[in-house]
Parts: sequence; structure tokens; C-alpha cells
Amino acid sequence: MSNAVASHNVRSSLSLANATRLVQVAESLGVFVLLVIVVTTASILAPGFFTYTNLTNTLIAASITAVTGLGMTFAIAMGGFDLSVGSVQVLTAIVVASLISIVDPPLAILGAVLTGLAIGLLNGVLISKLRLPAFVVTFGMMSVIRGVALLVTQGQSVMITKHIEFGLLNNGKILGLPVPFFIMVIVFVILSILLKNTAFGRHACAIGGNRAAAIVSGVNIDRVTIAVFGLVGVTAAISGVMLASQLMIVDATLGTGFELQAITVSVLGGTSLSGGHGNLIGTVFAALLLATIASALNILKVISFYQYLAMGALLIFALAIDTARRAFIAKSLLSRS
Amino acid sequence: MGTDQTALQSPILSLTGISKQFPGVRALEGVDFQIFAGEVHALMGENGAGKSTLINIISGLLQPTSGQIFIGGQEVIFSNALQAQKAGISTITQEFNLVPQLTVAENIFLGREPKRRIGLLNWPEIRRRASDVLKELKLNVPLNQRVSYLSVGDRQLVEIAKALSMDFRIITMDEPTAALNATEVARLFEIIERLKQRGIAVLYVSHRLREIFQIADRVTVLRDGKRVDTRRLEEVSEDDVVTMMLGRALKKEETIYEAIQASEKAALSVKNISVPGVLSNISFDLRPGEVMGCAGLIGSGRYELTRALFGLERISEGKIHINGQPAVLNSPNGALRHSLYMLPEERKVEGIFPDLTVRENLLISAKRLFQRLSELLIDTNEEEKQYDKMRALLRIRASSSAQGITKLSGGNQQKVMLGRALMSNSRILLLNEPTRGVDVAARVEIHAAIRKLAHTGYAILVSSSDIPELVTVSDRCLVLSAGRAKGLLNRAQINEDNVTALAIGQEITGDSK
Repeated sequence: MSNAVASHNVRSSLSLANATRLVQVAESLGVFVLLVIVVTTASILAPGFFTYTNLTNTLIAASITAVTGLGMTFAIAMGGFDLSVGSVQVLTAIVVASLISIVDPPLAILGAVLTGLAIGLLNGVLISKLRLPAFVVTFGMMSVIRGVALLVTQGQSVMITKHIEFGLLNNGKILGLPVPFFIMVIVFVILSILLKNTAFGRHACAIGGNRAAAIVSGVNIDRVTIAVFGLVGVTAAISGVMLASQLMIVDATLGTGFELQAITVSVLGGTSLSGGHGNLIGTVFAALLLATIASALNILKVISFYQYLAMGALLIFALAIDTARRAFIAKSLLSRS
Repeated sequence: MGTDQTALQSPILSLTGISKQFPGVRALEGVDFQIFAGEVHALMGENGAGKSTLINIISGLLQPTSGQIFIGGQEVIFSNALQAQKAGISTITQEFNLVPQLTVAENIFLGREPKRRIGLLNWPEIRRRASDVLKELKLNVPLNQRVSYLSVGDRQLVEIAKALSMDFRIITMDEPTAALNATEVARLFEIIERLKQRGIAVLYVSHRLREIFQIADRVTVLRDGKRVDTRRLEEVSEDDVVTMMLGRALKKEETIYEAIQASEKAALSVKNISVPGVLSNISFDLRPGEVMGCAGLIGSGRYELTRALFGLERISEGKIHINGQPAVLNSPNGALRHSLYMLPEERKVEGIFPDLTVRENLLISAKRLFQRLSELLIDTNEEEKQYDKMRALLRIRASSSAQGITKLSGGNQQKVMLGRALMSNSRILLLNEPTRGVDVAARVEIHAAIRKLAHTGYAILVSSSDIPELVTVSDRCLVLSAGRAKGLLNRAQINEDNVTALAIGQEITGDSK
């Protein structure tokens, strides 16, 4: 190839790489810009939104969603998703609330996290070893786990009366910021490192991007699948612990629709349902956006039924954006042979 | 046909001054192009020369930034593919637009099914018209066969049948022979001949020079988005076309081969292995320092042989030794642990990870990545070093290691795949179709790289449908026919005639042991 050709090719690849990078930045920026707009609007329209107490509560709600959303982003990057996270969240909340009357809080939390891990691993084993679709397995587990939660509580509420310092996990403050925010940041940092800087994360994206190629490349599909679902289970359990410390009284009817929220924040944040990559920071911004909208609607005394409407509309909106983005990328790729 | 008429006729499709500007890059610059009825017109150029952009403009998928398109003297503007189709332009791409779950007849009339007055499908009409077209193509498949059961070659003909049933005047074929065996290629060429006689213009895109000279009347060469020239093929030689494409003369294929002293001990020793229904009783030794070719038609079990050795097909009997030690290969992971790597046949299907970068694609099979806990975190500096090494060795042209793999040309993607093989730390490489969809210059570079690797002690099996490729690179050549080893040719015996004869099941004169 002559130099002229080489430089031409490099130039064309460069500009395309830039264009795609712009799209990627715009994706996380897009939800960030939306967040700024919504926060501003809410501050103007909803008196009492821009107060320390309300902002703190919004941040706590966002953090609880974001933690599971981050795990979900991992699963979606691998080309799967987990519908059982809502049920796992409520079961682990019940586990931690029940254990806390028997053992010290750290052990109770450990118990809840291990429960989430076990369910996640079971999901992963069923999906990889029995070759069942993630949709079927996690949809089934959603019901199974909910059933278990109802059984262990016998439909009763569980109140945390011992070790009330457990509530600090929710209303404790560091530098004026609520503890749940820091939990979310830690989860974010760990998952970011896992996704970008370990073979595990790379292999998860590889499976999501091209499963057949991952097999041929020697990626251990089963092991990665099981690990990713285990990870999602752990994040759902952390959300469960956070929920328990927020409410201090839990029952088996909590957490419905939580799976929808987790998937929505992933997709809204720029992670494509078609798999292959995950946008973790986008997920965090999208969780903040969702919590802001919910809080504003509450303050404006919009009946909560409308919140379901808004959620569903956001998910469809996010998917529409995702489709348009993929069409754009496909179009820009058309120029290549 | 069409030789002298072209000067007199007016072109059926004419493009003048076509330019296409993408953000930051000019893909086409003032390209003029004419095609006449009854002409086969080849379009050639290296990867990235602008062929695909031009085809996409003609088929309505892209709109030119400037320039005009005329059909039969009338200016047209296509804002989408449907409008181009309505104007009589059919595009047959490498990825077919067929619905695998539907039958042949249903596919041919998909979207414009003949209907009865009350809106029900007119099945007798569909069958009659479909069978007419198939008869014309001499395509012998049942009308109610599901497309998913057809071979790639037959699918392509169904696609052509669809074009014929719609009375297209211009048919564009993008690398139509890439996945066909020799018999299917011959059949396709017969059909193209017949299309010519019906006055259909065929725009033929291929990297295979020999085919161009066999089938086309004229050739237009693109380089850097500009038209270099349009010439009648009887006026030019293969070398002329290559020189037009590259802007310089190319290193000769014949100069690539250099004998290497292969080691005595086999790196991979295969004894009487069978894969139920596909392969029976295959034996060979592959030594460090040698390139063994593997030839065979589609259905010969050629790809399955490499898949079986890589643990992707179940081996029912036989023994495999690696470096003298017995080995059981039942997963790609296990094979990699035995220092054996397979390059998959179809880059797009089993090779590239479209969402990952060049570097991530290159290093996905690198062993040390997923072994020790102490190496849990990826060492990016080390990865960059490895990437630079491979880029220099294989002459990969990418803007950076963080570039998306899909942004590279086909040839460079293939080099990354080859790099992945080297980065897997394997000393035994099973390379399937190492130069599929790769332009002439990259092809020569890849062949040179394969010989160089053998020189440094790799044991390499090259499995290919491209017989000239096997002649260029192999020290010995195993020929499979219907799942059996038909012969093992030594360097002196390797030529296209011998390989082809054995592949179609004939004997060759002289000892083939």
C-alpha cells in the first residue's frame, strides 16, 4: 500500500473513530444534560425540591437503584439481563432484617449478600448449564424468590428493633453526604475496574458482542455467565440491605417493578440491550434522573399512578434512542468495505 | 457480447462526478462510471478505495454529496434502497436478504406476492412463476424447501432468482464467489453469461483477479476514492490491474515461498481420527517449521477437521499427540492449553468482537490474561507493547490500539485475527481461510507472514478454498474429499491441477504419498 493510501485510510478511520467516540460521549452526556434540565425544572416548579433534606432523600433513592442498575449494566453488556433483582432485593432485605435480631449487623449484612450471591449463581448455572434463555430463568426466579420471601415471613412484616444503629447505613452522613451515596460510589468504582481492567469484564463484553467468536477465542462462557449473574445477585442484595436500613420495617411486597427500574437506568444510561458494552457512569446519571423525576412528581402531589406511566415512557424513550444510535453507527460503518 | 456495441449504445446506468464526503473524510471524489446493457463490469480497488461506498450509492443506501446518477438517460435521485430497486437495480450482497425460515418460493416473492382478488395468496401463480425462474437458472431445489437448509451457493442463486423475477436491469454482485466452491463458481459464471445475453448489466465486485478476467468485459479501478481508469479487459494484464489498484507494482506471489528445514518431530500428530458423519480415519503429522495446506470442497470436512482438533466437534475415535504427548481436545480452552489455536473460517461470524477495540480483539485469547489471580488486573502497558509488536510484524494499519475493530478494512481485521493467533501463545496454528475478503496487497503480506512464522518454528495448517493460496504457501498439502484424506502432496506435486483433481475425488498420476 502506498503512503498516500495508508494515510488516507488512517485519516478516514481516525475521523470515524472520533465520530463514534463523540456518539459515546454524547450518550452519557445526553442523560447528564437531561438530568441537569430536570433538576433545574424541578427546582423551579416544585418548591421544596431544592432543599437539603429532599436532595438527600433523592440521592438515597437514586443510590439504591443505581447499585442494582450497575450490576444489571454488566449483565446487559454480556447480552443478558436479570428480571429477578426485585425479588432478590426484597428477600435479602428480609434476610438482613431477620438476622439482625440474632447476630451483629456485619454478619447479618454478610448473610444477605451471600443469599443474593447464591441466587445469582443459581441463575447463572441454570442459564449456562441447562442452556436456558436468561429471560425464562430470571422471569421464573422472580416468582420463585418472591414466593420464598412470602413463605419465610408468612406474609408478615419484619421490623428491625435490635441494633438500630443499622439505620446509619441510610441516614448516616459523611461530609454532609448520605452513606448510601458512598456505597454506590464504591460499587461503581469496583465494577468499573472489573469491566475495563480485568479479563472477566472484557470477556463479558466479548460474549455480549459476539458469542460465537467468544467460544472460538477460548473464553469460558459458562464461568463468565455464572460469575456475572452472581455479581448481579450481589448488587441486588446490597440494594436490599440499603432498602432495609431505609425502611427499618420490611415485608415481602416491597421491590415490585425494581427490575424494570434497573433495566431502565442501564438502557437510559447508554448501555445497548444488544450487548457488547456497558456504560456504568451513564447508569449512575440515569438513576439520579429517575429519582429526581419521582421526587418532583411527589412534591407536585402527582398521584403515584402517574409515576408508573413516566417510568414506562422513559424506558420506551431510552430504547428508541438506542435504536436510533445503532442506526447511526450502522450508517457510518456503511462507508467501510 | 457487448464488445462493439458499447461505443454505440447509451449506457443503462451512468454516474457523473460522484463525490461522497463523510465527516472528516472524502470517500469518493468526482467518480464517473458507466455500465451498458449486456455488460459485465468489474469494480476493483483495495479495501478502503471506495468500492463499497460506490455500490451503496448505486443501490440507494447512501446519497452522494455531489454528482448525478442517470438511468437510461434520465436523472434519478435515490433517497433509499427501495427507490433504487424500483428503478431496476438489484444488489446481491455477501449477507443475503433472505428469510431463512421461509421457503424458496416464498422468498422469491416476499413482499410482492401475487394475490387473488380477495387478498388471498395465489399459490399456483407463485409456484409457476418461481419454478420458471429456477428453471431458467437451472437451479435444482424444491420450491417448498426452507432456505435455511440450502447451501450458500444455492442461497445466492435464490437471491439471483429473486432479482430475475423482478425484471431488474442492473444486478450488482459484491464478492459473490467468496463463499462458493469451484463447482458453484462455474455455475454462477454460466448464469452471469445468460444474464448478459438477456441484456442485463452486471456490476461485479471481487478481489479475485482471475475471476475478473474470466467473466468481465470491462474493469473500473478505484484508488483513494478516485477512479484510476476504466479499461477493456482484453487490453490489460493482471499485473496492469494490480498496478492500477496499488499505484505501484506488487511483489510477486511466486517469490514468497522459500524452503524451510522442518523439524523431525511432529508438533501435532493425528492418527485415524473420525468425526461421526463428517470425517473418517484422518491421519497426518504436522511438524514445527512447516506449512501444511489442507484443500477440499465444501462438504469435504475441511473446516470440521480444524474444528474437531480445536475441541469444537466430537471426535469419536483416533488418537492425537501434541509434542509426543497424548492429548484429549474437547474444548477451545483445552486446545489453547495444549498450545493449539484455530483461526475461524468466517471472520464476521466467529472472529471479531464488533464492540471491542483493536487491542482487545487482538489479546482476547492471550493466555496469561485469565490464569493467575495475581494478574487479575490487565496490564495495559504490557498490552500496548504486545500490540506494537504485532502491528509491526503483521503490518496492521490502525489509527490506534483503541480504535474500534470494525473501523479497520477487511484486510487489517484479518491481520488482527492472525495476531490473535500469535498472541494466544500457541505454537500450532490451524488457519482457516487466512485471506478471505482481503485485498491483493494484504494477501501477499499475510502469505509472507505465514511463511515467516513457519521459519520461526511454528507448525501451521492452512485450510483454504483458495487453491492458488495453498500452492503459494504450503510445503505439503493434504487433500480431503468427502470426509476422507484423498492424498498428501509434497511441494513438487502441489499445483492447482493436482489439488483440484484429488478434491473432486479423482486420482492423480504419480505417487501422492
